[in-house]
Formats: sequence, C-alpha cells, structure tokens
Amino acid sequence: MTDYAIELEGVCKSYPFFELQNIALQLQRGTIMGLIGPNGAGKSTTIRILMGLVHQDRGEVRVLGHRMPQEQIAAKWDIGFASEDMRLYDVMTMGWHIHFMKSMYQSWDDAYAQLLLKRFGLNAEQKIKGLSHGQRVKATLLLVFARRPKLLVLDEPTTGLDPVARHEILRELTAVMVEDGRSVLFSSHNTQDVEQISDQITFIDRGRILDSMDKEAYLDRWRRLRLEVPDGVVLPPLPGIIGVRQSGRLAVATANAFMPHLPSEYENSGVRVHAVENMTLEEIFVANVERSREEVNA
Amino acid sequence: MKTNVMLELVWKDVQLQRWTIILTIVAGAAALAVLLIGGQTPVVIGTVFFFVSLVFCACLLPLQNIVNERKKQTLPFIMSLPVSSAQYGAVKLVSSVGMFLLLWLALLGAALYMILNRHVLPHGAIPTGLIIMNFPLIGFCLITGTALVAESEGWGTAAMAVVNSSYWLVWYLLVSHIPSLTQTWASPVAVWTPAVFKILGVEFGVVVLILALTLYLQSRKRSFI
Amino acid sequence: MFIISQTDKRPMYLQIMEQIKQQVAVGNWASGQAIPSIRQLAADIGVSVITVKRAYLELEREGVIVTRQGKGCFVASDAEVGTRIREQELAQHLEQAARSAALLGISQKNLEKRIRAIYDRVADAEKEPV
Repeated sequence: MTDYAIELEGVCKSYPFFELQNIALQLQRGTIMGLIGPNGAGKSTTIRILMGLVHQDRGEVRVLGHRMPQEQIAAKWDIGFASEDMRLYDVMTMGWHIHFMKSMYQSWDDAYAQLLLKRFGLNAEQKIKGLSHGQRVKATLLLVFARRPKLLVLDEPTTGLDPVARHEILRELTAVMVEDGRSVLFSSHNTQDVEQISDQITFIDRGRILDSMDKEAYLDRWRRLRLEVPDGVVLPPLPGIIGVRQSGRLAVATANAFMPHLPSEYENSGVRVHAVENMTLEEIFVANVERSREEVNA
Repeated sequence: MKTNVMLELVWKDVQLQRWTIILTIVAGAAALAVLLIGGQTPVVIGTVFFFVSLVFCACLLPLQNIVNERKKQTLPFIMSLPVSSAQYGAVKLVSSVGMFLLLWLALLGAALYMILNRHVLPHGAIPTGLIIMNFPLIGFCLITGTALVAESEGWGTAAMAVVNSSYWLVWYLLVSHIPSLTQTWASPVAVWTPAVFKILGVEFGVVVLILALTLYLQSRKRSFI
Repeated sequence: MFIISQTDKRPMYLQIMEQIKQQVAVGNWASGQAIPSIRQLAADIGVSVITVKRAYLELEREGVIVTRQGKGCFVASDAEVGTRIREQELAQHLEQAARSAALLGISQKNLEKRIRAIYDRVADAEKEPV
C-alpha cells in the first residue's frame, strides 16, 4: 500500500505540435488535487496517460500502486473516470446506464444512486438524448459517484455547468473526502472551484508543470502589494517579487514568495506600503503563466 | 472478473443493435416470401433483395456498432471500464461477427427452407447460392476489420465502397473461370463439384484471415483515443 | 451555517475561523462541546480538508478549541472562551482605529472624544424600546 494514489515521474509524450515534458506529479491518498492550466496546456493528455488510455513515450506512471498502462485493467476497477468529451448512449435511458454499471461493479451503491438522481433532478426513464448539456454531465458523474471508487479522475467536471449544477457537483466531490483514503484528481479552468475544494494544486502550461503543492501554502506565498513611491525614491528589487507595474508614483508589486518582513523592507527604502492583499487563484494563475512564458521566451 | 466485463460489453452491443438485426431478418424473409409468388420476375426481385438486405446489413452493422462508438464519443466511457484496447477489439469482433453470423445463419436457414420445402428454386441453386451468400459475409468482415483498425469513419466508408463495388466483379471472375457454377444452378439436384468445395474453402479461409489480421492489428495499438 | 464569501478578500481558513469563533461567542457551540471532525466540516461547508485543518490548527493555537487524541475535537472547556474571543475582536478593531487615526493625523485626544461620542450613541440605541 503506497502513500500515493497517483505517481508520475519523468513522463514525456510527443505529438506533432505539442510535447509533454518531464511531468512529475504525486497525489497523496485521501486528498483532492486540482489540475489547472490554460487550454492546450496538456491537462487532458496527462489525465489520459495516467488512465492508461495513451501510452507515454518515457517515464513511470503508477496509479493506486499499479503500473500504467500495463496494469490498467486492474487499476480501472477502482478508478471512476469522466471526461468532457465522454458521452453516454443517447438511445438508452438513465436507468439502463445505472443497471449496466450495477451489473459490472460490486461497489455500486444503489441507494446513493437513487439519492443522486433526485438531487441532480434526473429521471431514470429519460433517454440520454433528451437531456440538456448540464443534465448529461450530471448523469455521467452520477455513474462515477455511485460506484464509490477509491480514486476519481475527472477531466473538467464542471465545465459548461450552470452555477446550481456546479454547486451540486462540488458538494458531492467534497463529500467523497469524508471517507478517509479516497482520492480525487480533477482538472478545471474554473480557478474558483479549484481554489475552494483542492488540497493540492498543480499548474501546467505548455506541456510543463509550473508548480505542484499544498494549496494553503501556495496561496500564502502570493501577495499583491500596493505601493507609493515618492519622488526621488527608487523601487528596490527585492527577492520574492516577480513583477512590478509602476505608473507615476503608484506601483503594484506581485510577490510569489512572500515573507512577512517584505513590507518593512520596502518601508526601509522609503517606499510606502498602502496595502498587502491576498490574491485569488485566478490572479495567481495569470501571473504565473505570464511569468513562465516570459522566462521561456527570454 | 475480466470475462464478465467483456460479456457485459458484448451483451450491451446486442441490446443496442437488436433492431438492426431484427429488421434485416424481416427484410430478408420478406424478400424470400416474394419468391413464393412464382415466375421469373418475382424470382429475380426476391433473390436480388435477399442479397441486398445482407449487403445493407454488412454496411450498417459495422457503422453502428464500431464507427459510432468513436463518432458519438461513447468510446471514452467504454475505456473507463476495466478493459484494455485488445479486449475492446475482441469484444467488438465477437459482437459484430456474432450478430451478423446469427442473422446470416437465420437467413440461410430461411432460404434453405424455401428451396427444400417450398420449392421456390431448383436444388441446383443451393451450392451457387451458398457461394454468393458468403460474399456479404466476407464483405462484412472486411468492413468491420477496417472500421475497427483504422478508427475512422472515412476508412470505414471507403471499405464499404470498395466492397460493394467488388461483389459483381468477383462473381464475374468466378463465373468466367468456373462456368460450371451457372450451368448447374437450374438442375433439380444440388451438384457439389470439387470446384464448389474449393471456392467455399477459400471463402472460409478469407474470413478467418481477415478476422485474425484484425485482432492482431488491434492488439498492437498504443492508444485508444 | 458556514458560508464562504467570495467577496470577502480574506483567505478561506480565516473566514472559517471567524465563523467558528462566532459560534462559540454566541454560545451555539458550548464550551467543552464536541465539534465536527475536520473531514466532516469540510464536506459540510464544501471546502478542502486542508483549509479546515489549517483553521482548526490556528484555533487550537489560540486556545479556542482542543483536539483530544482518538476522541476528536472539542470547544475549549475554559468558560471564558466566548468572552476571550470577543475581547480579541475588540482589540483588533481598536488597533485598526488607532492606526487609521495616526495615518490621518488625528490626535489621541480627538480620537478619545470621537470614541466617547460613538459609544454614547450606541448605548442609547441599545436602551431604546424595540
């Protein structure tokens, strides 16, 4: 029994116009990891590799202790997977799909499935083709949730959902965590969702991992400082500051390695600190991606 | 555990395709029923439409059972289940060939019944008829194999086009080399010449070859999606 | 009962801490009472376990809650907990007031006068029949 639900090491995959380079990722058992990155960053490819659906060119992949893709059949018994491009059979009903899953998986919790049908506002007799986009996504996720799998791997589970549906899904995802030992990996554009429910955040851009760490510690490292630079004073370059925007006497500094003594260092050099603000994950996301792209281009 | 999943998937395919199978059998049987009217025109119409139902199903079944999994994006759902790419390929072959064979045998049985019990055609038509009935079976295997291995609607359609236009060509070539085929089909007695057995043997071999090649190529694949 | 506000600029764990302190201060959560486990509260609110863990850690450091190994988490049995929380809050507000006054250049005497006036106004409002 390893400590990690998912381990990726040195994973590489080349495509004609895209390359996944040296992906290293670890998901601790009993935690939720949010994978965020711009479109085309490699989130879906990474997820497909860890599901064994795509073979990596190089690197080790272990999911629930199983080597992937070789042991994918064994692994998939305990993994609940849903992706944005996944569809159910239109001509069949919700009830048929439930029956299909029930006959395949022993861990199927029918009482929970019935509860979710009600909670999500779905009807077992309804054919999939009659469902709206949001209902269809919820239907797909219901089939994953009701199996109570040890690991949930969800590629953009809340994309395209209205606020109510999103809230319902997030609720079920956090409910998974009550049972110690179950893990979740989900990818999303929606930084708010990721910020709210993730224990760990992994940032990916252009096929590379930018950051992967504990969410609280990560959010704590970033700050926005609103500064006033009087005439004759020069803004000192301080460690931990990754970017400064100045307009006349006002400046905004972005820190990605904030230390409590940073404001006083500014004060000591004559700069007045008006405010030290926390940043939302969305703001961090944009700042991070911009910085990493600058570094690559430089 | 493993076999259970594969069986469930085969059964799922059967449930999804059942109407296609049933309708094909009904259409084929209806075509055979036309033969009961008697006379040259009904015989021609009946036999042609009997053949067409088989050809039509040979195209439709792979399209609905295989191409659509990718087109309608249900493949990721299947791949999330505890199956490998090789197992998936095996399941598709088993369900596709299984269903087609089922209806092929049913229609063969119906045709034999019509000839032997209802005398719509002379018995001499049986050997040649059997040879011709194998054409859609081979065509079906080719289209199915292509659709499964090539993973695209384009290739599947190309296979259909090639296969459908080849039936007459193959028949023409066979008849020009083995004229005995058409000479004996009006005889009241079924004539089983060595040539007939050779042809049936080759047809059977081709079916096995196509299916084996398909399984092999499918197992070599590195990604599903 | 716990709601994370998106318009609140403070980190989630601080919001949770404040709301827990409120529960204790008004007496909803009595001293010595068992409180939800970290995982349970996280699921109830709909936030990450790590955030609640951090909130609980800080609350324990402040003496508002205690964790008993194997038994769970409880409100500190110290009867003064509620009062202490309110005191802390007042201290924070007063400090903020003093800082703002300093920044604006308001004298200590002036500040005292203003606080007195506000206090009288608030006290009168409390006495008024509802």
